Amino acid sequence: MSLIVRKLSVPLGECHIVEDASLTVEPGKLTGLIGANGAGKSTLMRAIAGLLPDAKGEVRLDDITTASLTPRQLAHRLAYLPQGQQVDWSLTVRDVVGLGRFPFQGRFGRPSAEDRAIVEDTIGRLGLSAIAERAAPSLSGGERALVLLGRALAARTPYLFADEPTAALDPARQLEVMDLLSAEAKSGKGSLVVLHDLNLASRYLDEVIVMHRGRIIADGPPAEVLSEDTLQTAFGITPLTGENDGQRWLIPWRRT
Amino acid sequence: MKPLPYALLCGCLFICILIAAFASLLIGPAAAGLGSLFGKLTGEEADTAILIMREIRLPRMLLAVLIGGSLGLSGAALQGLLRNPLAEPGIIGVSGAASLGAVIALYFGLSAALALALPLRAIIGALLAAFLLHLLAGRQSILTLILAGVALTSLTGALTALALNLSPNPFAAYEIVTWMLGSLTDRSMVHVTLAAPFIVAGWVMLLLAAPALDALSLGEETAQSMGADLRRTRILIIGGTALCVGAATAVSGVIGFIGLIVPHLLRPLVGHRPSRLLPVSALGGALLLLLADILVRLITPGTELKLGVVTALIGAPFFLWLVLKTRSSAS
Repeated sequence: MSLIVRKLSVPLGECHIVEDASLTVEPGKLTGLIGANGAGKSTLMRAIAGLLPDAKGEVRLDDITTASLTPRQLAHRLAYLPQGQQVDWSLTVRDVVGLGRFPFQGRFGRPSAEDRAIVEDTIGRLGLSAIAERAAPSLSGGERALVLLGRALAARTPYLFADEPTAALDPARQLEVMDLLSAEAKSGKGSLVVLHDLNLASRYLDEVIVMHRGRIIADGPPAEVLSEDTLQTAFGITPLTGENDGQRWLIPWRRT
Repeated sequence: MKPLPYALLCGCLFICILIAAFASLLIGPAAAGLGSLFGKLTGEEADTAILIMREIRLPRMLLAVLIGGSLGLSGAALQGLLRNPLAEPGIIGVSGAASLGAVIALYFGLSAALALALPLRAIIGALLAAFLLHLLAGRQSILTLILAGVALTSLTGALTALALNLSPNPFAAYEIVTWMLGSLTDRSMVHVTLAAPFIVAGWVMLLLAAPALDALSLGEETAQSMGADLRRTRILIIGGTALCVGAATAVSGVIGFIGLIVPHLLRPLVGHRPSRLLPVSALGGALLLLLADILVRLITPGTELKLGVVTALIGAPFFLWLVLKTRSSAS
């Protein structure tokens, strides 16, 4: 039981944004996609999530080809949190989190008692109870990011994709979000996140996939993959590393 | 503003519609008010009063409900689909095309030959516009849809102006202009039975699209990832708007601002949820048009002001006030 991607390519005119990507997202593990801007991380994630009709290759979700699933069936198995998302109307926090239950509701979109219980539970777990009636667009960027993550978690899908969930968050929020995602993964969710922060990647990820110019150039546990060689190829940087509490920290130090 | 309980809001609007509809049957230039109703009981002047109410005021009242409801509902649906509070039925070119269809009927004198030629032409115009819009932007982004709609609106506007420019005699031009002002005067039950099936079909399509609009408030890609069928939603909303607004424009001419203002007014009362806004906007639109049509009869009983003129006259300053108010409360 896992999400297996084989030879996935996303064409754009003559060239490819993503070429021949093969990877596995296992339940119970937090898997990360890293790479420089324009390396194809977000595109790869969107292609796996079935949002790019031009993508070629195979994605198998627990032994079912995703191409054979309807969007709704796919939404029952996989929740996707895009990068820097906005909320268009002044929906309350509770309503936004409640949208996570959308794939499970009938034609007229009425939430069941179970849906409501899940939404309340998610709001409580993310510590959003105090602002549950506030309008989502009026929140600070950090609060809003948490609410939108709450939406994706409320779907209670076996797989979760998050594109840069820590972007534009303050340090405490970054740690909070990574702790949450890590806990979700430990509880059995197959999780794939795009990260830009190499230190968070080194500390939190169970598996790291490094992309460079549309291709996957390394794949494995952070200690192996985040080597000086790979970082030099993928990002053009030399890192400074060390250890604390049995975890390896890593900061980009200078360009090479 | 705190959202009201949903059932209470719908109930209140419904009762207001009933009251306004009743008032609409009693008010008019002919002396057929409450007094004449009592007159019927005492046996005097009975038949004329009943005749006026049934043949003149009843179709007018029914059309106000159907057309106002269509404008409010499609306005709310389009604002949800295009994720833009400035969207209204006019923006996608459907009412422009319906209007052009009617103008063509007037220009060639078809309506003189056959009374139903005008509304039928208008409905055909609206459906053609929706089809064209689907061909142009069916698979493209929402922005392309808006741009195609704007292009279609200016094209139909230009063709309407061309018809006026080339009109064979001043009378035809006068007829076209008067029709374009929008009115419910002198419509009969034939108009009601002609428009009602299209309008009801349009309402059903729009209401079926409602739940997906909530998902769309997180953006197109997220909505898709949540299993919302955007293609279906778009076809339902464009098609539904073409049917009900096309049929509405066909019998009344162009009536502006209802589709823009009603969803704006009611949005805070339903907690800003696009799906819930749809039914209440239909009720609110019906109520507002009923009231506007009563107002038209009250302020100038002699030469009646056109309904479309009044909705725009009241609507535009009101809208401006609304925009300034929300901007000052936001900052």
